[in-house]
Amino acid sequence: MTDAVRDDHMPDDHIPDRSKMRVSDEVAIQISNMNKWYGEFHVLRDINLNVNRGERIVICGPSGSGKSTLIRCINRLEEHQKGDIIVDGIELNSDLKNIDKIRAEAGMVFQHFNLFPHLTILENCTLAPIWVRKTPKKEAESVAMQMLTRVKIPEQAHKYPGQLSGGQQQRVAIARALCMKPRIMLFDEPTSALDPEMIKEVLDTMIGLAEEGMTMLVVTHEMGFAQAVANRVIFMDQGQIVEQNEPKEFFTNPKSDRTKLFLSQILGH
Amino acid sequence: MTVTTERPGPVFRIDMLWNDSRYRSTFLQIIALVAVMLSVLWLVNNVVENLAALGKEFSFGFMNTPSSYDINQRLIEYSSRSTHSTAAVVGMLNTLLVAVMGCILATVIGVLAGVLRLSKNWIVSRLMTVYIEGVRNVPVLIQILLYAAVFDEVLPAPSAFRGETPEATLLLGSIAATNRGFYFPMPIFEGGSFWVVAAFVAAVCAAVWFSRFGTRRQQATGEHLPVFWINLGVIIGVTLLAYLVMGRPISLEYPELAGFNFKGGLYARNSLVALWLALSIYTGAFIAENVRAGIMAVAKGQTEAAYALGMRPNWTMRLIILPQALRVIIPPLISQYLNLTKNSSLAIAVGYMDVTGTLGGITLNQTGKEMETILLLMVFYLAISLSISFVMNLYNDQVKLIERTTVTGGGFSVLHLFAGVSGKWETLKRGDAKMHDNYGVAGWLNLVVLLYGVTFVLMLYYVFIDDIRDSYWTWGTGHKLIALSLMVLSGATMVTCIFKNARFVDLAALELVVFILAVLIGLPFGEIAFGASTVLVVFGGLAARLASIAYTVFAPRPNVTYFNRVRPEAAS
Amino acid sequence: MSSARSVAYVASGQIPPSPPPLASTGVIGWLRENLFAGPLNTVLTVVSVAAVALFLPQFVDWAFLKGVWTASSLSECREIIAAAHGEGARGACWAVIDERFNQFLFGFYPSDQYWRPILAFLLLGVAIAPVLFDKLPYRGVLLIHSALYPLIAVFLIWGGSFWMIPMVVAGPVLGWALGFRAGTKVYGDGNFLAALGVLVGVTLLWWFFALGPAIGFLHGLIPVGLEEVGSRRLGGFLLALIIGVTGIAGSLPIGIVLALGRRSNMFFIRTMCVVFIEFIRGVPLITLLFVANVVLRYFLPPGTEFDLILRVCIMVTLFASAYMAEVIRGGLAALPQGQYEAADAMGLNYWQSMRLIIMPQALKVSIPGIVNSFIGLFKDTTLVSIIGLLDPVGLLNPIRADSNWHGIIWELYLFVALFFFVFCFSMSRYSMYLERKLKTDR
Repeated sequence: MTDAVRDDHMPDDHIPDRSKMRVSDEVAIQISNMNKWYGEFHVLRDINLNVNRGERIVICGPSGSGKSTLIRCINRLEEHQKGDIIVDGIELNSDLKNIDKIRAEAGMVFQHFNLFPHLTILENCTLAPIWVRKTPKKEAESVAMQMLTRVKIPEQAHKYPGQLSGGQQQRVAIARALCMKPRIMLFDEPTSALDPEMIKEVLDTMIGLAEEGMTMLVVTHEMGFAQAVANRVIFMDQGQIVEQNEPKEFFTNPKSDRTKLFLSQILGH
Repeated sequence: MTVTTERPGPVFRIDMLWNDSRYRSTFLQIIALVAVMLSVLWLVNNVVENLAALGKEFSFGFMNTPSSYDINQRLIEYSSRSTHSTAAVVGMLNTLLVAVMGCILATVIGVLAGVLRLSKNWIVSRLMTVYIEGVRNVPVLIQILLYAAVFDEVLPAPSAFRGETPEATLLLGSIAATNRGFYFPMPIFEGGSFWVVAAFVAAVCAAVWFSRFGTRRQQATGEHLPVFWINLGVIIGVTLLAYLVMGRPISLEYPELAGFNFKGGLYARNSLVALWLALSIYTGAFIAENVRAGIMAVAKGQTEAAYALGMRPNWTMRLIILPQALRVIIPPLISQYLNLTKNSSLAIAVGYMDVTGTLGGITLNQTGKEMETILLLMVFYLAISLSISFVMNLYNDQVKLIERTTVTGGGFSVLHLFAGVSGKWETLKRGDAKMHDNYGVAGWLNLVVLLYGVTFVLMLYYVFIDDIRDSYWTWGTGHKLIALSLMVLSGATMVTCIFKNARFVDLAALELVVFILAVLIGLPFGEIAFGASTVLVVFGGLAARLASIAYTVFAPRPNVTYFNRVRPEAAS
Repeated sequence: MSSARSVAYVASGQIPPSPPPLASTGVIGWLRENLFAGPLNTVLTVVSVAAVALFLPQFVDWAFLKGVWTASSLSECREIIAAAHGEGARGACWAVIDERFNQFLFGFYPSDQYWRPILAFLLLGVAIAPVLFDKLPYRGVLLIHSALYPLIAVFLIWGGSFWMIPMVVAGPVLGWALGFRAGTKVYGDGNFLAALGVLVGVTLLWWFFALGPAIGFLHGLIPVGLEEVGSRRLGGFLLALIIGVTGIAGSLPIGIVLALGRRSNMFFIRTMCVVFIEFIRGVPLITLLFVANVVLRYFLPPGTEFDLILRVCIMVTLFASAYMAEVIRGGLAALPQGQYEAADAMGLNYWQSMRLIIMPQALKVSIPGIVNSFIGLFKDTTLVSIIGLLDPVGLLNPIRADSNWHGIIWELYLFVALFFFVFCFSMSRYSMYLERKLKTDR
């Protein structure tokens, strides 16, 4: 039954090594009874989620189920109205200093990359370290080059985003986030704006991150990735967490009808 | 860590004003507010001190004193014994006159030049480029002054038209261009001309009906009728027939030389003609660029696709290019109209008595009331600008609506304003409030706003301007109070309706009560059956109020506002 | 050609290229396609050619062939033309431009001091260069010059004590030292607002109370300076340039602030910006110039006198900045939401993200619009003639009233129009070039 979760996009030459991915007991993110509304519309309903350091969590669900909103709440791109979010022991409230701290702790990768088109790749990567972390420029650049090497595009450092392919742009976006030395990475559908052949290179980069023990929250429909890398899969529907489980159990033995329906739609063909 | 649900918030500390997102923006705004209020206070204080030092006072009383100056170009009755306010109104009408004439001519010039500039004909497009670039890059003031100077110094004196072999002749045999002004032929309407006009209007209505009939016919049978030519024939034929049957009641009065000057016909001073031509030619160049950009904005692929479908060039233009291009052209066109209106204030440089010349010129100099006159002047221009931008916003909204729904076809029609009213019931019936409910709401709001607007303006007219009834100024205090509160409430309801969340039931209800009270005591519009417009005020006003209340009660999504109908959709 | 035989086909050899038929190429082809394609086009061509043929030779004849370049009055011009080309010949009398050339350039500026505005104009070029090009050598030094340029220009054109420059600069320097240097110890590192408040406060106090005495004192010690030239003597293109350049330089920063304010989510700030922008855009410039001319003094403390040209510059700047704000707002609106979010997600604060991410992109998008509003502003400087300043248009009436030159029209207006045309046309070409460049950039 596990074979049902085929995924052509998964890199075949790189089998993720789960033994490297260790989960510690330390809590990284703690969300309790969190609620959010857009006007009258209740997008997130009583979300409770604890993420330990080193966990790789994949969040899936039909569109409009609130999964993107959930991870955008974690670094305050969206404001939640009720409940608590504690990231790395810092409570996310209206205190701007806390917000700044959390944003520096948590890197984010967007669906549409959101690179800054007027800056070179290298400048994209060094901007935040220089201005937010107050890193000296030399040091920021060497870190940026390290990160670009890690995502395998150091040779593109002096080009502009417009000159790169989608997959390369997304890897730059990952490198840009990594340059801040984040302890948590948030991925908001990182592969859904990409052509199939480019998805692979981005997923490969993400697997590498997981092997290094990065705490990751990934909103994605790449079920192969979930199976290979995640230690927990969360299924959301209509603003609430419907089911969460270990990937094996989640895919082979879904409990809720909604999950079954979703899985049959996404894997059925 | 324990899971906490409701905890008391952290204790307030002073640095949270700056560091807490809940307080920071309020704090900053309070600082800004205080700063603005202090500066306003400072300015007002200075004004008071300065006025006291000069022995002046801030009042508009001077507007009712005789102006004791003459205005040579005017549309309404005026003499030097009239008041300053009449002079101001003469000026305003003169401004509007040159603005409207300028907009019409500028549009004609601009559309022609814009289309010709896109022509494949090399020499024509080059000539148009020379015109557009040459005129656009020279200040309009220089052009106005040049035309005025040329008219004054180069055109012949009226006496040159005299004699057996005159030095000058009438342009086209009917227009006298002299150094004292232009004399145009004037249409004279005699008895019976009403029927000619009526016949013309009827013919136009018939033509509109016929084109609809043609469309329906085409939809039913596929047959194309030569609608355009038939309509043209009907309009010209019917009007001409009526003209002949009624015994040629409309004639032209030509200017004639009498003594040292021309008599008869329409007289326009050189300054007016110079201003009109210069503004039109200048603005026309900008409009030409807008037209060109609009046509070019329609992708070439559209034309090719239409051709590939077998459409003829003129159909392609009418059905594919124009509807798309108009959407791009009209907003900048309207702002060019606005620019032209504002530029018409340069009339003061050539001595045409527009509102800047009367109110901001001679009245200012005679009375020494600088602040009052310039304030009034600015308010006048602001009112024009704001109403033009209001129209533009309406149009833009409408275009957006058309884009979002399936309505196709080009151009803007007042009927679009009401399109949503019927759309509403369909969405309600289908129970699908996802895409179309905003559309329906817009239609209702349009109706409400329009009714409010009309009745509001009429009320203003009845209360303050119409001298048939007792004037506001002679009423007792109670009546005054009720009338005033009605004004304020209707204004507030209308503004709320337009700009804010449309949930305004309390306000509307309060206003309704006051309105009924006012009608019952016969204020401000005495006898109900006085005339059509009075009926409109009363029943239209009632309808608008009831509609707004009904809307508030029944609207499915009350946070939709007039200008910002669509809330940002919830991101997934 | 329907043959029942095999459909297979193999080319027997390469066909060499051959020229197209004559009718579709060369002069004839070009004429056919561009001038005589269809009857309507032919008619248009004939009409246009006729119009050009009628007008152009007459104009060349009048302006150049029969134009007179040196004479002392219009009647002398006419005599020269009559003598050369016979009685009744009409020709341009450009001599008026020649005679009044200095007036057109400098107004009534004392002629022995012409070097001062010329030097100021040259230094303007030096001041603009480092702002436009970021690869210049010694850019740092040049930028300091650009920052000081307004003071230098004021000193050169109006004259007065040289000490004005260092003493005006002293205000903000003192404020900065007290606020940011010394102040950080008192308010702590993060308290930018308090330091800024001290900077502004000290600067204003210095300017209002200490500036005059300080200049007087230093000038008493070491008198260095230039002869003072009153505003009334400024005129001509010099005046147009002063007003235009001030408006351009001032409106950009104010416009940026207004545009940001209009997009702010703070209700009061946004409302203030909207009201200001819509008010300014809703009234004609001439009413604002009236305000500068007669109303502004009511709003200032009794007894305050300041220069009409300065008042006009302020009003023109405010006027231009409202339009600038709308142009920049368009650029801001063109940026995708993702750019704001990415900047936020990286932890940049508001001003950092505006300065580093949003503004560079928004300004780039709006450059053509910005240049266009510069053109509009420059053309609008002619309006100052209506309130009696002697800009080139304001000089025309006195010249036409001069008994020597009474009756001259076309030459004067054409000359002034040509000046504005050259400036505005080249600016508009430059903006088109930028627009094309930006389109192909990515």
